[in-house]
Amino acid sequence: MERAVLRQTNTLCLWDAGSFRIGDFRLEFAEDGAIISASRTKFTERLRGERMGILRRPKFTAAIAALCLAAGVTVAAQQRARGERRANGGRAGASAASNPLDGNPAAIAAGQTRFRETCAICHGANGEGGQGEGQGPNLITNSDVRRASDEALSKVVHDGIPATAMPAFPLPQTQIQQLVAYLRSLSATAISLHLPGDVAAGRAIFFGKGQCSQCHMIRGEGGFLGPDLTNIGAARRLDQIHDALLKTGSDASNKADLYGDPMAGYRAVILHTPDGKELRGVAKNYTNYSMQVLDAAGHLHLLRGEEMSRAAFQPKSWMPDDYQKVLTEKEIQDLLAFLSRQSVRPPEGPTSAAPQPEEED
Amino acid sequence: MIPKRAKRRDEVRGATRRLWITATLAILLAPAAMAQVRPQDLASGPGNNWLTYLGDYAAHRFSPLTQINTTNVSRLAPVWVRHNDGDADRAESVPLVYDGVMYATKSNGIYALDAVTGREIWHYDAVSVRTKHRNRGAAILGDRVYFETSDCHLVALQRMNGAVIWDHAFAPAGKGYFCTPAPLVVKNEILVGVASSGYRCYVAALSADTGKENWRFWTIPGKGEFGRDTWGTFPDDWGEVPTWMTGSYDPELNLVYWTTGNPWPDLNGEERPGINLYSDCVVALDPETGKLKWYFQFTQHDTHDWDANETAVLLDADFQGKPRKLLVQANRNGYYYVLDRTNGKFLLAKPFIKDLNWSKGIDANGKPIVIPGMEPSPAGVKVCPSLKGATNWWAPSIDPKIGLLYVVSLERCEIFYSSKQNHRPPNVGYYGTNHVAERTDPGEFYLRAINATTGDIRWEYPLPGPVYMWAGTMATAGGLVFTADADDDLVALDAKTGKDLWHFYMGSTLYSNPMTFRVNGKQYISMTAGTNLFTFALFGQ
Repeated sequence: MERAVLRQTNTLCLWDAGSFRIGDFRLEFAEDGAIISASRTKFTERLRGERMGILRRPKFTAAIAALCLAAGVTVAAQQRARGERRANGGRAGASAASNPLDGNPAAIAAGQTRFRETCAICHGANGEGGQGEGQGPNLITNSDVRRASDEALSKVVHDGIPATAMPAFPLPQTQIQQLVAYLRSLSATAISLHLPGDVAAGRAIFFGKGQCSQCHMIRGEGGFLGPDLTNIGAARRLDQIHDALLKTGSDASNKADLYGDPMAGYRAVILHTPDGKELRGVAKNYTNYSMQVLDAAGHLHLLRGEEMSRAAFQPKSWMPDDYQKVLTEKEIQDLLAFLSRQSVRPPEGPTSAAPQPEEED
Repeated sequence: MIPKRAKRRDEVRGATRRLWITATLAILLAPAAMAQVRPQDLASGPGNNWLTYLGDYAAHRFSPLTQINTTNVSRLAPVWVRHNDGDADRAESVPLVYDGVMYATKSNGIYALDAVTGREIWHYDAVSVRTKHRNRGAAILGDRVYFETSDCHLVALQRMNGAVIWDHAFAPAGKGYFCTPAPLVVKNEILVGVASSGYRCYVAALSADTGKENWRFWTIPGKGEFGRDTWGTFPDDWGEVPTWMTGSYDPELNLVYWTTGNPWPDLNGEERPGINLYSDCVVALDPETGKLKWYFQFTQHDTHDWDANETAVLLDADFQGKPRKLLVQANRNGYYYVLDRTNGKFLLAKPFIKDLNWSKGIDANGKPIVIPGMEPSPAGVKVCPSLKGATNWWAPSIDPKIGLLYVVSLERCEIFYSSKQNHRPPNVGYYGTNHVAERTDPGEFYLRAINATTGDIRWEYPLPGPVYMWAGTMATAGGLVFTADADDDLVALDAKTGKDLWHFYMGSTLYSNPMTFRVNGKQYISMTAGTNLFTFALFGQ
């Protein structure tokens, strides 16, 4: 009998003698939820043992696996973060960098070269993660990587991760620091990268040839259909902006929450007005009972009940998907250089103080 | 030969066509033409819209809408509620409504809602703000909305899509300044107020277009200026006197009226001998220059934290037989004041609470006749009203026809202590004593209807419950006054008699002021409770 198979790689936990055991598994589920095989970690043996039997019971398999997957990810993340904070004096989020080469453009470039030679085969050419069997995680979005201290990342590169596919790379310290600087640049906001390019030319493309400003605003200049981009450089990574521009409609741009996500308030609609006009718009919100449409001219249409049938959802977002053809490589670089510098407040950091002890009244 | 009339019609048609083409081109070429909120719209007061924190420039908080009235308010029912995750501990925001869209703030954020359904059109969260204070609302002008962040940036947004236009700091949060009020639009300026933890405060006017600061009025005179000597040798940039309540404005006199807070350190006056100008004042400012036209001080050398930030209500009425331009205020110190707003001349003061023990009355110049020994002391001294005040920033409202000012009043006394506390500089939370105050009784709120020109109390309505609420009032031409009680009810009373006509249990404490608006002919009432925003309308319509 042929069985439909779902493959999944994830962190899994195992309740074992009062403690959670954690490891990375590649799991193959059958249609009925039974695990067909689990492989590629040190826990494989255990799973094949008596506990595998429990997991095979169809009634419990799906529920237990789901619970375990969810809890495992959380527990793993917490333990790792806590351990490192103790060891390194605390890297809160991804802020405090102890790498002397952090943010150094030459070091980042050198790190990128080294990365392509050494790491890209498993982690993808730009750290986006490998494809297929035995490949490494996405180093841009992986929360463990982003949360880890510079020292911890250096140690992982230098020593590898025992019992996984991550080997040791005992490179000289400078080269490891270059690699870590490059890894950091992958998850940094675009504005911190000081991306090379002609910013003025990029601005001209935004408001001119690229027609970006027909839908997007920067500091109140521009159109209404797209998200405001005034803070885009401070809020997004460069790869997110890049993908939103050049991979419209792809998973990547959806994940960037820029458009395409119907929940984000930019789902494309054509609005048929009572006087027979057709207006381009976006549904800022919609439910069974009301819809709030903003049209290209900046007029709001607050629709109720039957009026909602005047708004027809469109299959694609209004974002053009041909910038690769319309703009030259240099123009794209200039546009990215311009966009990556957009920030509501100066990037030097907030002027805020600690919370105040007093109440005014 | 073409008949004259036909020819004329053709000419007209041709002209019309040319006009039409020009107009179409203009529409195609010009940026989106949308309804602009003009200063005169703000001046005309509430109606379908509610465009300022206090409803209108005179701070009447009186709506001419009558659909909801004394005969049918018993049918008032909720139509939507929005739970505001991520707000500060309490929502003090009064929403604005323009053309069916509601603009409400939370701490460091603003959102636009379909006012009829409560559904969100857009929201904006200010970036990189590290503090989280409460926020009392937005301002609207042209195609923009404005709000203040906790760390004292004024943010200007495109009001149809929430796109940020600019975000300008007007006070250094690093020195302990923080900001909560709704800004006030005067002509093409946005007036903002600040609070601090000891450093002296100000009112500033920023350009509505660019955010550039046009002027600043310091609430404490600088070195060599008039009034500096009312602070002894106290350091020049200390003393606080915050400006955290939205001001009022008289377009005819072209004067802005801003109320000021108490001097710092709050409960210890030893270091700041003198009357401490311009603490606990109302100041009349020229909106073009920020120059002081006149001031009136309610409490001199305050040691009880009796900020005078309560709303200054502007009223044109007969006073003792003569028509006068009045400014009235129910003050935190327990007295109701009537002033001439053209020159700040004191006209009348009367207590609006029963327990007032710190003064024997107000003299002919408007100065309280203080009873000695009422300053905080090591042994403690019982003072009425309490530190929270006889009233506070809870908005009053007035029905100009009935002539009654509706004021949420608090009857409560407290023991004020002082004890030696090592002096601390601004920005660390310092009141000047270790003990602050101790309650002698639980206290009780009342809604009091005060005859605006005589100060006599026409009626009162108890608002019982644990005295945690901070809610104000709104009056309507439907003969109603809306307020809250401390048991978490929103209530509607007969504005003439104080008779209880409707109430609704809001489920959490009320910390704001009610407002009303109309969309497609239907009237709505909105009010926050806890961090939730409720909207009501007549059931079955």
